[in-house]
This record gives sequence, structure tokens and C-alpha cells, in this order.
Amino acid sequence: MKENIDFHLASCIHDMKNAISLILNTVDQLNADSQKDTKRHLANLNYEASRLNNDLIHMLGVYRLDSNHLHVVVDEHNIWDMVNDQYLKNQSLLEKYNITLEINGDEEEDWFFDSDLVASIINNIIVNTVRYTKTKILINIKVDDSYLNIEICDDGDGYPENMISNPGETNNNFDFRNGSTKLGLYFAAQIAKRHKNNAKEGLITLNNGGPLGGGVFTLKLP
Amino acid sequence: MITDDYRDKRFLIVDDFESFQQILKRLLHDLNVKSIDTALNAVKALKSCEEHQYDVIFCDFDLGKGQNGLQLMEELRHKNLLGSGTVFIIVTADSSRDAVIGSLEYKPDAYMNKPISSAELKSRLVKCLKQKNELNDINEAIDSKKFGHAIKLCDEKIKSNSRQKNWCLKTKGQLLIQLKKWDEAEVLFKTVLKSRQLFWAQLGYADVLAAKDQHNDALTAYRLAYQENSASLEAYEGAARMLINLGNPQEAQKILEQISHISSRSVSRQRLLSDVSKINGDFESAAKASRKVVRLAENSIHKNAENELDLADTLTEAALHSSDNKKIKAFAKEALSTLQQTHKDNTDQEIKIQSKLIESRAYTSINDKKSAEKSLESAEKRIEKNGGISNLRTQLELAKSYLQNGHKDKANQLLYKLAEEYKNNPEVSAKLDKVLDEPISKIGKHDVIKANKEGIQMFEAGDYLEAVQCFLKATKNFPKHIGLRLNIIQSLIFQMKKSGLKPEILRQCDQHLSILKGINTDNPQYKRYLSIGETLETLNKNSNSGDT
Repeated sequence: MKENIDFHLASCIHDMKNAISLILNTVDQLNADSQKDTKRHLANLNYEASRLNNDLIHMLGVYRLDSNHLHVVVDEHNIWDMVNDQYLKNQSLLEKYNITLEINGDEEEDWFFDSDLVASIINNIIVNTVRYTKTKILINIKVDDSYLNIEICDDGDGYPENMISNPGETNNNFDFRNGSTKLGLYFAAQIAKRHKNNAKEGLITLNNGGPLGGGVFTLKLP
Repeated sequence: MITDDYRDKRFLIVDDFESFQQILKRLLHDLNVKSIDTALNAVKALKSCEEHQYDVIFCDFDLGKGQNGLQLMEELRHKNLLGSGTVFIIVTADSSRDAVIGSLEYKPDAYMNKPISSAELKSRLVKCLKQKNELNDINEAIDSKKFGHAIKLCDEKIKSNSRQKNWCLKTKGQLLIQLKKWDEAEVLFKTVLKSRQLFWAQLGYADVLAAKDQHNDALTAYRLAYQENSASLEAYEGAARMLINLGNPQEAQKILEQISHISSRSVSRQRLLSDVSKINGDFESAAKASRKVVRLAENSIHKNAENELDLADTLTEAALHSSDNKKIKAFAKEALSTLQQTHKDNTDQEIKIQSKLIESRAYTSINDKKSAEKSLESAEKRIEKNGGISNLRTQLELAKSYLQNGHKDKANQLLYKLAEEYKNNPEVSAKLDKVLDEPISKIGKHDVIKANKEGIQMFEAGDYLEAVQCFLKATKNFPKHIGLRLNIIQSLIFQMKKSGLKPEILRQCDQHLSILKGINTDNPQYKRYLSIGETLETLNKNSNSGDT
């Protein structure tokens, strides 16, 4: 029975993801030859569709976590490539909102992680930050103390205080406005936790301030 | 750099949605790609690849009915239609993740998640082509089977700390296994594992231990591998194989049945499940798995008449070993219709002969001796018409049918002839030993005596479960051996006398006993068979009355 639901859920989400991909690619096509006013609408359309896409990934991911069907498979990957791919994925979204994105780090450095899942975390934070930053996003890649640190910093107003104290935790005062952000952070925290090395586990943190004075999301992987 | 000039490169897009083909096509056009073909499904893609050599193939994972993207890639490789110079990129929606991380053997050059942006596409293409360039020498060496040279080239890249060093390390490990350089491979995997618990190294290490016949250690290693990646079919299958070797086929069957949620379309898993179910005397499960093999192989490189013959053979065995008349009839009927279809669909004489031979046993299972003789004679005539020469499987099927239809002399004559002919071929000797209730190869005879002696020692010391394991280990190679089976049942009965009746153990006893159904009354073990059967019946009655 459960497997049946899993199958139907997966194929339904598959279908929805396909639809959203079509929308996103069509938005891109329209953007090329449209007027200023339309461009603003298209930017919003792009943002909302990207958000929907991430929500679906998280819904399926969380469902699989719950039924123990989400496997984190760690291998050695180039960090910069993975992060840069997520920038490229969202390049046109960033352009529409006139936001610049800079990646700081060693282009040759490798680390151990599940490339697919960590990429989806980074992608989600970039899309979210587009809404809350003012002009730019800075991604710092640092390896120290046997952890990989990926910091995503913005120059917006920062994260609300209640989120900072326990990022990725679910509590009952559910808020429809940032419900999807919370789901994304919960997913990120769970994926980070499943990255283990010796006795260490991965984690996420949220801070305010940072190099751009806004919010800082940090993913730490051992 | 040549890697971002696509004007001379030929592209293929495989996607069952035309709208996606269009999107990708437009993105590629923007990159100045001139030559783009499209295919809506695996069959059409296969045809395109027969006609053209592509530089880059974009293939959706989910292609609707028929093969998926990975199966298509497997078939292209198998048919030599996918050169090592071709970049193969699988495009996925998130839902196919398990299939993507499940297999180590068939890896595309890259995975891309939908939606794909233009910038992302460009960056990925450059990266893949660059990688192809850099690994070109190694891939060519592998393609022309110069594995030693390929390893040397891998070593150079690993030493120079190239971006591809991780790929080279994995490839070197696989090549060392291919070359059967177990010790070197073991060192490589162990070194990797010392710094990180990486799944691929864990699996490689397990494979090496298995190859070195260190079954216990290999089992532990396979278990660690599937804890690391519980989507890995290879790790579960490896563990199941080790459990069979260690005399625990029940546990092996359980593992294979439990992982139905991953790679439910895997032919190899169903084949292994069918084999292990037969060792356990669980012919219904074996039949179920064999049916799946036929159905799943339909769209893949695994499709061949052998699967159908195997299914018919399994169904016939199920009919021969069942005591439920309704089931016997149903199994035999399905076997016969499968065989008639196979006979009709194939022009190969050997296949036709083999299907007639299995058919004769299927008729025997429903006591239709006349039809059984007729099928057997028809097969013999065809063999004669063929000049009396037939392949090994046909001869084995012939021997099995002789045995089943009461022509024991003819069977023995044929098997002894084969045993002499293949006495230096351990693989064939092992196959011959499986047909008879007593092994005829020298090694086989020795092995059975040894296993029996060891098992009986344990039995006499009161270690009944260890004795069972010891006998079971041997049944893998001698499934028809009557003494071994009776020893297993007797050990299980004594275990129950010691620790109480258990329905699960009783069921196992019944399954083992069912394998001996049809034992000849003149067999020296016949009396023992009858008496053990009676004991079991009494125990079953006691167990049932205890339930109510």
C-alpha cells in the first residue's frame, strides 16, 4: 500500500516538475524579446516557478526521509563546480532582479558530499535569497578544521530572530507565509545531518550581519 | 579550446515529451550547435545510433513505456553503438534518484536535473567534453582491452593530482578486479576506506573479498556497503550470494525479497532470487521470480529464449514438487503454453529441441506419460536430424528428461560420457553434478563426502543448526542430493526437539522434503525418506492442534 502511494506520489511530482520546467524555459524564451514592464512580471513568474520547483523537491525529499527511502551517498566532488552550477541554474532569475552573485573560494578544491542533494540545498537558498537581498549575494567556500563551510550571504534585512535560534527545526506555530522556507531549511538540516565522518555530523546555521550586513546561511559538512 | 565549438558535433536528444525536445533543441541552437537529431523513445534512439555516431547524447531518464534512459545506455554499450568518445548525459526529474545512485556499473558522463538553464547547459557541456578529452587515452586503452596500459595511465593522473583523479582511482580499482589482481585491488580500496567510508570503495573491497572466497568477511563488507548506500542492488546481491555460500540461503532469499522497492526492474536480482528459492525448495517463489525475469527482459539486452526455457523448467519443477493437484495442473499448463510459444517463436534448432525436452517433463508432472514420451521422441528425432551434435544445455536437458521419464540407463550413459568429456572443466562438471542425485565428478564426490562428514560431526555434538548450515552449503552445488536433504531435515527436527516446535522451521522441513518427491522406491535412502516424512507429518499435526 505504502509503496503504491510512493509510486503515485513520485509520478505525480515527476509530472508537476516537468510542467514547471516547461514554464521556466518558456519564461526564459519570452524574456529575450519583451518590454520593460513585461520583464518585471516575468521576473516574478520566474521566481515563483523556481520556488514551486524547490517546494516539490523538498516535499518528495521529506516524504522519502520519513519512509527511509532517501539515501545520502557521499563521494568526492569539486566544490566550486557544484556551487557554480547552481549559480548558472539561476543566472537568468538573478539578472531579472538585477542581483549580482559572487563566488569566493578555491576552484580546485574537492570535498566529500552527496552532490545532488547538496546542490539542491544551495539552489534553494539562492532562490530564497533573491527575494530578501537588495543588490547582491556572496557565496564563500572555505575548508578548515576538517569541515567544508559554504556561506551564502546577502545584503537584505537578515533572518527573523526565531529562525536563527533553531534553524531547520519544526515547531507548531506554522506560518503560511514562510512555510516553504521552513520546509527547505528542515530538509537542508536533515541532509546535512546525514553527512557523517568519524564522529562528526553536518549542520546548518543562520546568522545576521556577515560580510554584507544581511543574512548568512552556512552549511557545514565534515 | 575545441571543447566549446559545437559546429561539427552531432547531437541526439532522447525524450518522450516533444516540448522538452524543443526546449533543449533551442538551447543547443543558441550554442551554435548545427546538427541535432531527436528520438521519442529508446527504440528510435537505438535506430538513430545504428545510423550515426553521435558526439553528445542527451537522454531523459523516464522514457515512458519500454526502456528507461539507463537501460538504453546499457544496451547501446552492449551493442557497441556507444563509443567511449560519446558524451552521454542523463536528464532527470528528481523522482528517479534511486535508479541514479543505485548502480555503479553503468554510469553516464553526467546527470542534469530539470529545469536546465542555458548557462548551466553550456558549462556542463564544456566540462564533459574536456573530461572526455583528458580521459580519451584511458578510455581507448580500456576499449581495446589493454587494461595494464590503462592502469598505468590512471596512475599518472592520480599522481599528478588531476581533476579526474577520483574517476581514475575508481576505474583503476575496477580494472584490477578485471585483471584478477585481488591483492592490489584490496590495497587500493582499503587505502581509500582508511580516510573515508566511501560507498564505491566499500563495494569494491567486498567484491575482492568475495573473489578471494573470504565469504564471512565479504558478507560483512557488503552489509557495510548497503548501509552506506541502501539503494545499491549490487551490495544486496553480493550479500545474498555470500549467504548462499555460507549455508544460509533462507536469509539470502529474505534479503532479495525485502529489497523489492529498489530496482524492481532488475533482471539479475530476479534471476538470483529464482535460483536461491530453488535451493530452498520454495518453487512457487522461484516461479514468480522466473516470470519476472521473462517480463523484465522483454525490453532489454537480457531478452533471449533461455529466459523462457528457464521459466518453463522452473514451472515444471514446481509442478513436480507440489502435492496440491490444482497447483500441479496450473504450473504444468503454464509451462506447456510457455514452451509452445517459445517453440513457435524461435527458428534455432537447439531451442526447439530444448523446449521439446522440457515439455516432456512438464507432461510427466501431470502423469501424461504418453505425451511425455512423444515429446521426448520428437526431440530425439530432431537431434538425430541435426547430425547428433548438440550443445551442452541440450544434452543436459536430455539427461534430465531421461531421468524424469524413467530412462535411467540412457541418462547415466549420457552423463558419464559428458563427465569424461569435460573432466578437466570444473564449470561443466559442476553443472553435471547438479543434475544427478549423486555427483559424478571427482571433485563433486569428494566435496559431498567432506560436507557430510563435517555436518554429521556437528550433528553428533548437538550443534544442529551449524550442521544444517554445513549441509545447506553443499546443496548449493548438489541440489538433488538425497542424503544431504534428509540430513538437513533430520537436523532441523532434532533442533525442534531441543528448543520446541516452530512453524517456520516446520515449513522449511516441508520444503526440503518436497524436493525429494518422486524418489525411486529402489533408492537406498527410500526407507529413511519415508520414516522422516512420517515424523514430519506427526510434528505438523501436533503443531496444528497446538494452534487451535
